[in-house]
Amino acid sequence: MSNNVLTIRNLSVHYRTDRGELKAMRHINLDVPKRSIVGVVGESGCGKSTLISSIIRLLATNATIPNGSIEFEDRDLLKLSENEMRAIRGVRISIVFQDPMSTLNPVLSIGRQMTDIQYRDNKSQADKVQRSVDMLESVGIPDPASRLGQFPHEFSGGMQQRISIAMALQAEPSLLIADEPTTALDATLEVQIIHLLKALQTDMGCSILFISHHLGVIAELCDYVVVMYAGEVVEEGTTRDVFHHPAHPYTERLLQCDPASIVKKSRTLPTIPGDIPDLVTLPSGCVFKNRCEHVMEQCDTTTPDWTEHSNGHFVSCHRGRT
Amino acid sequence: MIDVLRRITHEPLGLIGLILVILIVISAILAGVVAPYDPVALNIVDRLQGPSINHLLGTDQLGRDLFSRVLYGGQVALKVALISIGAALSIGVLLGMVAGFGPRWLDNIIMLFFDTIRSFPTVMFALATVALVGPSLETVILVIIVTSIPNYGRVVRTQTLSIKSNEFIRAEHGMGASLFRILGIHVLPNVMGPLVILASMDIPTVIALEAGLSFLGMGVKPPTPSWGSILNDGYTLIRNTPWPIIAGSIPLVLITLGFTFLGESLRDLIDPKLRKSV
Amino acid sequence: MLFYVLKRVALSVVIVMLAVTLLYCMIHMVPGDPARILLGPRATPELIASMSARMGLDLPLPVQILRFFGNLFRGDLGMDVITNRPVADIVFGQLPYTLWLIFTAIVFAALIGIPLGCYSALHRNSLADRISGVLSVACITAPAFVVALYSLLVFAVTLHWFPAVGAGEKGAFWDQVSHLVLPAFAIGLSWIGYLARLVRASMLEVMGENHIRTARAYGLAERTVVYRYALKLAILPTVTVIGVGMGFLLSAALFTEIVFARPGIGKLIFDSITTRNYPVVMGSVLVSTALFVISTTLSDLINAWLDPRIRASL
Repeated sequence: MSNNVLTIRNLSVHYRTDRGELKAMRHINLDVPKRSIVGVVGESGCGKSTLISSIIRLLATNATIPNGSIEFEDRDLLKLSENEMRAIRGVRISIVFQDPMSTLNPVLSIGRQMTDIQYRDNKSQADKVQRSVDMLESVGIPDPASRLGQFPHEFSGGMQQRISIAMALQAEPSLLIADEPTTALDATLEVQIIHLLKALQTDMGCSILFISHHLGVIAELCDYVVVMYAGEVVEEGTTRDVFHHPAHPYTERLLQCDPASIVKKSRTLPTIPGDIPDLVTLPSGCVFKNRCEHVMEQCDTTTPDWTEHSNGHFVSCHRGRT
Repeated sequence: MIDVLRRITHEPLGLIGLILVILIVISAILAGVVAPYDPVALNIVDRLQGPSINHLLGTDQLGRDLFSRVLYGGQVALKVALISIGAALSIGVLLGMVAGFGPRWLDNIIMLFFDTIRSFPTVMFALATVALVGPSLETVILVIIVTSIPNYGRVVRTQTLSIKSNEFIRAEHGMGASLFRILGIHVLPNVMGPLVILASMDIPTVIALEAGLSFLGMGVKPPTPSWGSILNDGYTLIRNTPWPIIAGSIPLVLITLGFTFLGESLRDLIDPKLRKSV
Repeated sequence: MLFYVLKRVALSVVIVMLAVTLLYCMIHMVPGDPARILLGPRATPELIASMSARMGLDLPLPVQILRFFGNLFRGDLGMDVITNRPVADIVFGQLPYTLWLIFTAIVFAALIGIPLGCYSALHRNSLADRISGVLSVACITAPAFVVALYSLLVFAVTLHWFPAVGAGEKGAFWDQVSHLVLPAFAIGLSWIGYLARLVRASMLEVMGENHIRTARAYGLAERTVVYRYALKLAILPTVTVIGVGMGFLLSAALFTEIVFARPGIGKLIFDSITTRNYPVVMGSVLVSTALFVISTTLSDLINAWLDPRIRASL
């Protein structure tokens, strides 16, 4: 028995496009230990949503997975049949999506949607309803029994996100994927949702894979951090290690750019100059070389190895290794 | 324009549409040259014949050559389509702009007028008018004009309204630019694309309506050939010969298909927004 | 909600009244005395005058219109001058035939068109999708009366599968059904294409929405996702289109009823117009216009019932 609920090894995902093979994700390694919260951070377009879709195997039809494995509860998800996979979705692995206003079906009542997803349980309709009421109660929806008959648009954005969380945790999954669950919400609500997630995670003992570009939220919530750049994981470690001793130049720049960390008064917000490389015609060497301050000769020719920087803190960079 | 045509020919359906339309338009224009017989000349001896070398589509109950009648019928169909859509388009643009730019009460009146016209089923409105004015090609054209105006008017009104609320236009208006200048420079070019698409999609409907009314005996007067009146002859002769029905329906179906294919490829080219949905 | 319904009904009444007024004005504007046209050139002036009086055409125009509406509120559409029967009796005697015809045609079209559209959307760009796309366009462009003529020619006159004329014996159910098949097919054919395209487009749109991804992420069976979660939304535009399409349906019914010599409101209008029987023209045009307005309103209400978002905004 492994200590991880999710173990991703050497995973790549490509998309067939008119321009050729788009290598959206390349040789990803990622661990989610049991009962822990792992944050994934990176700019938009870095492959975060491809990562989620490949875990629950709902990739677009033009996607291929040339290599890799996704081990979840000691089974390789990539080897399961569609039916076996469907038995895992929403039961063992659940997702809370980004935009709460559009993730629920607008013409079906909350109660209907919450009981529909319990279709696999051999329970009476009354029991299913009761389960939904209990879940809504635990995410802090006041008077849940009377609100089951209501439709998504009758709830505020924050309330809809609470409902999504209730739906996701209803089957007590061992892994919850939260895809930027607070981006669409304002700051006060964001804090509430974060605290709610943390409390529920402690109660239920599940793991959370938390996707966000908000470093503050990651720092507050997560035990481990994974930094992604242009379809690769460039750094991984405990939140403390990565935030206090960043080993990859990209992580360093990311931390500098976070508005919360800017102490010095400055006229311009710091940014990282340059763009993500074209993922169809990927150049050789390190993916970050064109934006890196510490670029060296070998960065241009060889891809840096995935090495242990310090105990449990991994990085893929040539720096400090010559 | 040339570019649009060139791109249409690269799409199979657009190309088929274009070929059908050109074929039928040319054969209608050249009917006087191409047609082997006088479309109204009687020849009782050769009546109700099937297709042969002499009569490609056979003859009707009066021995008239159906192929020649079909060619001349195309002239009627195209004349009705061109005149009525041209007129409806112009009036629609005018009323739409007035509704969009005019005072609120005028807008409401025009919209109520549009809604009232649309609430009549087109054919019933046509029949009522024919009953009052008497059957003739002019009546058919008049009816089609009146019933098509709301289609164009609504599009122009919506566009005008959205442009009217534009800050830039308001500023220009405030600086004393004339209404005609604003409408001509800012509104017209913006609605041209949708209007062209709408008109080309409307042609098959109009041609079918003309044929339908002529079929009911409410369109062109008897000896003049129209696809609809050929079909009407075919209906009365249905137990004797299938050929008038076949002769009258072939060009009708081909041209409606042709214009529809053409209109759809035009829409895909001019308005890619719509492409996504269909 | 109640306010919305009342507003819609009020607007409908206004439109119907306007339509009638317009029709009256047109009758009035046309040169020539309708009574004289009806009676023919050899009628005596006395006969024409008495006929005018019976049709109510001797009164000033506003009085005629007001009288028409006054009678209308009592359920009286006037008298048929030729048979001396109440127009309301004639119109409502014919109406059920047309309603059954339209209803059958739409049900037939929906049963084929909606699944076809779903299939096309789910197998986008497949060969079947392309074929169904071209066939849909061909169906849409085929005028109803041409389809009616061909089905009469092929299935009734040549093959004798179905009867050619009439609506069947009263009370004989299967006879009536067999008389309904070809006319309903003639009206419904273009709607198959229309609905297939509409459902395909709206299905494609809905299937790309976020909540469908959610439903899949919760492991719902693909069947449930498509037919219960997506179709329920994708079907909404169809309701509107059928409601607004009542005008086209009535027009198509008119042609079909004439081709198949079937009783119905379309044939009634055609016959009364060719005989210049103005009271009947008036009554039947009024009823069919009202039908159109009612169906548009009804489809809005059905939509509001199906879509909680619209319901809330009313």
